[in-house]
Amino acid sequence: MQKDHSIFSKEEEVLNIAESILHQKDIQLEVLLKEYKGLFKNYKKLLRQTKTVTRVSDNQQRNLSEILDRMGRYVSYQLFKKITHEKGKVEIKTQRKKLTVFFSDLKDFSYTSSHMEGEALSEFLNSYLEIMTQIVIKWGGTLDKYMGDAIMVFFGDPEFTSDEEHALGCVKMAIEMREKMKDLRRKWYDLGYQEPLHFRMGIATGYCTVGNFGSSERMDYTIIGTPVNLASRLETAADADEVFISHETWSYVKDKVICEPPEKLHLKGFHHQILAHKVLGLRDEKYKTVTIEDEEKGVDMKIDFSKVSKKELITMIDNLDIETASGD
Amino acid sequence: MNNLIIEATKYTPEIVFDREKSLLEIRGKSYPENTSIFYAPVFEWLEEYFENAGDEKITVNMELIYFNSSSSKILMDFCDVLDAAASDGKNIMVNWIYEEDDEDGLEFGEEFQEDLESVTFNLVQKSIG
Repeated sequence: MQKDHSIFSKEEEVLNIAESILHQKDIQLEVLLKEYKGLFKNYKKLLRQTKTVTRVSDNQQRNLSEILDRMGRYVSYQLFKKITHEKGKVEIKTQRKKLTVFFSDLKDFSYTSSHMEGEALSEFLNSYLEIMTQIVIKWGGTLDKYMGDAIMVFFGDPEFTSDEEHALGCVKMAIEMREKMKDLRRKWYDLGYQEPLHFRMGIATGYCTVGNFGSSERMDYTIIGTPVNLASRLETAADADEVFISHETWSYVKDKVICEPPEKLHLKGFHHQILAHKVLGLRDEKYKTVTIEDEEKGVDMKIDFSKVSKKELITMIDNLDIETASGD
Repeated sequence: MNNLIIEATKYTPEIVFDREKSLLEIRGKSYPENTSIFYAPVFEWLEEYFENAGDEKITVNMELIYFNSSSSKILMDFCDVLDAAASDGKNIMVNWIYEEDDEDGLEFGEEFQEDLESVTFNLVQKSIG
């Protein structure tokens, strides 16, 4: 049995006998009946085995699909695709790539969370991360990890388009997150959280080492390098609900994004001064729409400069019939 | 007649057939590159073993974590050989061992069990830890 190295060798042998009988002339009824019985018995067995193998195989495929579905929730969509589509061995392998790295965290969250019950804290944090993750997915970022309330994302790997697109996608993602945060603050306030939560974001572009880090038993697909540290430090240096971008990131997005004049920062771990640009909003080329937001000062404006000039706008503000706090 | 001992690899199960103890065990994963070649010594060993076996109680432990479709066909052939030997008067007991939380393992065992007539087939739950 199984000597000719096919799992169906026995079945093939039975078929060969049946076929040879078909070619025989003047076959005795007794022989024919004997071979027919053999064929019938083996067909019955094969049908039974086929049914079982099909059921077992279907079960395994269903399980595999469920496992993949579950696994997809633990890693980014891009990384999931890399794992499931890439052939060959999984090994400790890294490469250098220019990436745009994003960091965010909730300001003073440790203090806020110390006043919250565990259940409320996890519900609160999960709802925040869920919404922010949807925005990351929308802009095609690779979600590297959550670290408590902090989020680390990078653009440029596994899917590479262009350095400009990665930087711009990342900044647009940050702007959308900031918009969403306003809604969340209102929602949390209505739900009874009295401390208004704010977050900070930092973005940096540059060469990173990307790939599998760890041991042969357990590895993480992540990135290391100066831009990672820089993005993290810029995030820490940012004011509430502000985005600081590195000078290199700014160079890729300056035509599409409005920033304040750069600030020179002394950041931990960096010996030289770092130029950081505070993102104000998107420069809408088509409609020349500019967004000015400053929650603390109560400013939230969208101005379409295709319809109004700067001079006309200043005149409009001057003509407002209100008393300003400064008395101007 | 020697015992049959095949060590486990990443893709193939450990096989220990002990003639003196009348204990046949298959444990681990089974998705060999060529299923038929891998299991050929198993069938050759079984053929010789049943030719010489008496009326002693033969215990077969099957503890498979994962197996591919080719392996499930071969495992059914394996069970058929056992079933045929049992119908010839051999005293054979098969233990299909699955882990406590492994519902699939239980389902597969039930599938194999349905196909057998003469052999005693037990579904054995193994406690975790």
